Amino acid sequence: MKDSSDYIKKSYSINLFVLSLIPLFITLVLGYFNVKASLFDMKESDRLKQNVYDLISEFYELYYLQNESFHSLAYIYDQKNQEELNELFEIKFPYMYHITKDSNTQIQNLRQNVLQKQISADATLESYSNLLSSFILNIIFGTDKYFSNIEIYTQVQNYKILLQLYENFALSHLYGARCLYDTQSKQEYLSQIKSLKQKKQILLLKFEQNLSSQSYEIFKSLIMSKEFTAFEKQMDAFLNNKKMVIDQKAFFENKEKLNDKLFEINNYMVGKIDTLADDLYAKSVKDLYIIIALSFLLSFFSFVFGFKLKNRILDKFEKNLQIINAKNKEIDTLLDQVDKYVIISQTDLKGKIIYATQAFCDISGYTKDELIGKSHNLVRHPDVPKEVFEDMWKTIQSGNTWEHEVLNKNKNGESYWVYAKISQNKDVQGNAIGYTSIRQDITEQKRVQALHNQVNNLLNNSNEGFISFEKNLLVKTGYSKESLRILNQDQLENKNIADLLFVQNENAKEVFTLGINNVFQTDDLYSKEVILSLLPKESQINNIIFTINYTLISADECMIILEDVTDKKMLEEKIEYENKIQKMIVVIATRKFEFLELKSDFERFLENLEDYIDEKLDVCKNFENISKVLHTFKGLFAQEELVNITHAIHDLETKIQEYSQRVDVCSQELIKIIKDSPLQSEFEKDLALIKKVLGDDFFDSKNMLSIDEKSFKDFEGRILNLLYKNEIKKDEFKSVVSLFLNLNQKSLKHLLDIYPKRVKNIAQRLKKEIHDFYIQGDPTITIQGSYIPFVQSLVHVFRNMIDHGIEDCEERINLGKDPLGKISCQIWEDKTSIYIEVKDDGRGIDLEKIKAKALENSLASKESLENMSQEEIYNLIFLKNFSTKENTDLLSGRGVGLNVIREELKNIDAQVQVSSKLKEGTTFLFKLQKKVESFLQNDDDENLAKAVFQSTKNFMDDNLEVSIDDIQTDIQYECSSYCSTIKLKSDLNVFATISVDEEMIKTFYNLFFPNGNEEETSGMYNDILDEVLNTILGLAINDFPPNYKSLELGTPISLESTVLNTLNKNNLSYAYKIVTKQGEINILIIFVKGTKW
Amino acid sequence: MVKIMIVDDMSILRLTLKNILVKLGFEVVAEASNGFDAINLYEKHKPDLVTMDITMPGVNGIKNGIDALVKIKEINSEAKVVMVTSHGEEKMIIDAISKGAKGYILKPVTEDKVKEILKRLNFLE
Repeated sequence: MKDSSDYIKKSYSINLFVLSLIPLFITLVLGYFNVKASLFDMKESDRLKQNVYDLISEFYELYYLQNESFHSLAYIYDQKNQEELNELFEIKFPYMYHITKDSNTQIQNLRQNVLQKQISADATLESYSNLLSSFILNIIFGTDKYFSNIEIYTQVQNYKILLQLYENFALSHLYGARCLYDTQSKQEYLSQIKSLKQKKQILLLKFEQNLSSQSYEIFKSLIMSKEFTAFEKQMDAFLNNKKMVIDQKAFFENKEKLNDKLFEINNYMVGKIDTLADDLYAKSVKDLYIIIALSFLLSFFSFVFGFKLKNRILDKFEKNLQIINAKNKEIDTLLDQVDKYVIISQTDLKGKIIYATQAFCDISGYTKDELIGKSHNLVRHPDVPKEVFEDMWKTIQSGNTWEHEVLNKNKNGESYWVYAKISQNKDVQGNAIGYTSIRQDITEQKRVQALHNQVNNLLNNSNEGFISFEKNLLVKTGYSKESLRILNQDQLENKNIADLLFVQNENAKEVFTLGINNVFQTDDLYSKEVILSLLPKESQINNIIFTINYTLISADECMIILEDVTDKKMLEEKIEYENKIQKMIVVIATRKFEFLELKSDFERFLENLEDYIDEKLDVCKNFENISKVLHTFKGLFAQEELVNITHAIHDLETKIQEYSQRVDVCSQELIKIIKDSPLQSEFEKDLALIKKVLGDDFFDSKNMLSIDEKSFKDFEGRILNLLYKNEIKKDEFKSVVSLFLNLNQKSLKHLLDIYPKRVKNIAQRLKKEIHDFYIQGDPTITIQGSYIPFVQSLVHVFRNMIDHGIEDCEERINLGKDPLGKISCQIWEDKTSIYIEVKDDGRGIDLEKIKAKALENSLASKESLENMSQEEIYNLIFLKNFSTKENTDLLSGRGVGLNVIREELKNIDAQVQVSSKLKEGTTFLFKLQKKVESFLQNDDDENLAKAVFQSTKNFMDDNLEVSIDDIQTDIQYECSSYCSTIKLKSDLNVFATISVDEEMIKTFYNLFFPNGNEEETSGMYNDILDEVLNTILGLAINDFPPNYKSLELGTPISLESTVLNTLNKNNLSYAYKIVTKQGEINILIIFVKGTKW
Repeated sequence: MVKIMIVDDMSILRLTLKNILVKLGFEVVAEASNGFDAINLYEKHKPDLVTMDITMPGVNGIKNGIDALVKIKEINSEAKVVMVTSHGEEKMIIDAISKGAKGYILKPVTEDKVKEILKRLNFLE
């Protein structure tokens, strides 16, 4: 560094020396030229001298020229002035015209003379004056002497004007400036003057430049003398063509003076011209010396300045040098850092390391010494495939740069990742001399990436779809694999999330879009939360059902988590199905008996399908019958909670209904449809399910009766009791047998107990709300097995009540009713009948509506409706097709409903009484006859009594238009006014007695003799009563089963009341009393003791 | 005592809701069966909370609960209105909430649901 700075210093000094010589050289050159110029000027002064001479001669020339032109042009007649004068004369002095004519002629002559230069200007002027004087005198004192003073005055005034004019005229003729009308000569003259002026100026300039100031001033004063000036002024006047009167005298005087002056100048010039030349020469030499001196001075200053400059430059140089050194240091630091932190290595062409940075050493674990000279594959990792290095060599050997992620290993055998960039090194000539590799440690980056991949893997394997999207609803980059599967897509990025999620559900899509937009728009956190909770939580694409969980990640980003719940859903469904089965099994296990009966009925139905088709009936009727049966079975199976068969029947019903719409229906086809339907298999499915739980032998106990333990123990005790007795009394035996028979009886309450729950279910499905209710009544009331189908058909009554009777809550509140509907079911019995009362507090039956509907469905004609009683109209609801619901469900609505009940009622010979009050409710009262199964029954005598009583009542109901006010049983018999007795001829020694009061016997009389005379026929009262009793007993016996055929009516007998009373007291008897407004009837039946069975 | 107004076209629902609210110790100051009456009654009683059925018969241009909500919000921007809704009305609920409803009760209305929303609105602890 030092060397170079010294070198720079030296070179600067030399350059400076050379530089300072340059001004000296320049001044010398300039000086030389100056001298040369001065010498040249010597010749020039000679030429100048000549110029002066020329000039002077030109002046002369000009002078003469001017003089000449002046003379030639000064007298030119001005045409215009002449015309003006003539005009004046003609106007002002018309009378003098002839006078002036002479004068005019004289003037014309004069002018001619002037023009021909025959007279001088002075003479001309004189001639003019004379001429004018005479002329004026002529005017004033001429021939006309008639003018007044005023006229004379005016004339004088005019004269004065005229005189003035003449004077002007004359003067202009003499010296007029308007003489230069000849343009050509004027131009010539003009150019001459101009060149002269120029020449004078050039000369003056030359003198000023070349002469000493003294000589110049002298010369200038000559040239610019007033004679010249005056002359020039006159010249200018001519040139400018001004109307100016020239002082002729002064002009000529000046002319002379100028002449003299010119001579003077000429002389002076001739005398002085040599001096002038010398003067010029001396001036030049002096200038030369001054230039040389100045040159030396300049050289000196150049030296001094140069040294100063040199020092200054060197200072600056030093400073720059310091800066450079500082920069060098920075570069060194930088290089140190590169060495420390950048992994660089250089190799020769064969791959031997010739340079390595510390950073390389640090990462590889080798020292620089260990590295240099070694092959670069020292750090090669065995896991890297050979192809990678082959590719590298191929690339870099061809002069290209190779970039790649490479796994290396360090001295300890640990691996590290670098991003390598290898390129060729070239010498100045461009030949390859080796390779440089710059690498970046990406081990950490790789680790993070691996971690990232791991997280991604976790997400992808979490079996949950993670998707995030922004305000625009487009899916962002980064979502788990599962989401692709769930949404059935190849990729999700930039797709609309709403379109993706809700493929099959437009409504959900709208809700989602609306909601999510609102979530993004609102700032209220609570609103966001509420709206998020409203978004669809589940969706389905193809067969995949998935849940959607929403999470707001930020104000404008939302993440959703999708979970495939298809399996879960299936499981839930399966569980639900299992639950149903459980329910079914529980129900069947607890109601085994009912189920077994149902089962055998159904199996019988399936076996004997053909029996349900009566070829004699028309197809429609057959359809109707089959449908009814199926419908009842469906209801029964539903009641028993059977899963599969209920659905199967429902499907079949639908099918049959569809088929029945066709034109070409036939009963055989119907049978085929039923046989082809999977009723059997579905039922067996249910049975299999039950067997699986309750055991294979569950259904084998088909013909067994279930008897509750208490009843059985009771029965057992009584049998044993009988056996241990020596003598078995007939009564005791009878009671035991009766008990045994009762075992086949079912508790009506227990049979009905299934309804409260079932009705509640129905209500729920029909969107009605009712209070819970229980079957009220004695659980010991029993019915025979044959009544069970009727009890089962009661479901239609309940369903009707809920569907048509109970109003919905809204309506009930508006009517001021309890919001919940009330349904009740009560059972009771008397000696002959069992009563089931089903009651609701709904809207009641609207008679008019029933009529309208009956008409609509062609169930009755208008006329017949008009004649119907209220009861009859109510009964219309039991007709088939009265209910006309279009949509059917598992519960109801096939137009079967109440019709089934009517059929069942017919089968068991029971009655129904419908009563209803609008807006208050409807009551169905079913009355079932207690059947007398056998005479062996314990209470057969009572039954006989009951039958007699019932028969009496029926007789009254049928024949008398009376209403029964009161019925009394188990009373002490009172014999009324009229009495009749008949002995029932049989093994039984039974007396039946009837006694009536006065009023009643009259009623009977009226019945037999509607138009009879009471007084004449009063003796017939007893006969009438006998006849009545006979009728009543006949009816009673007819109602008894065939076993009772041994009963035979005797003839009416008259018994003394005392005899009757004795019989009554000592024997078993039954007494009834019927009270009406038209009197009362007493009935007494006596079973005489010891009667032989 | 917190004053509450019930708006619902169905009297059974008004009754149910009223019973629950009274049981929870609130005062039901007004009941309306349509949105139009609700707006007038709101001005008169200034209740602290309004329960508003979303679908009601339109009266005088107030065609549903949301219209009534908007009008009530115009009267008092701080008014607290809770919508009473059914399943399938999600779109309307979202609309209502974006228009300032403070929440919603899904039918059928039960005591638990009412309690929950009242807690959220800090009327109950």
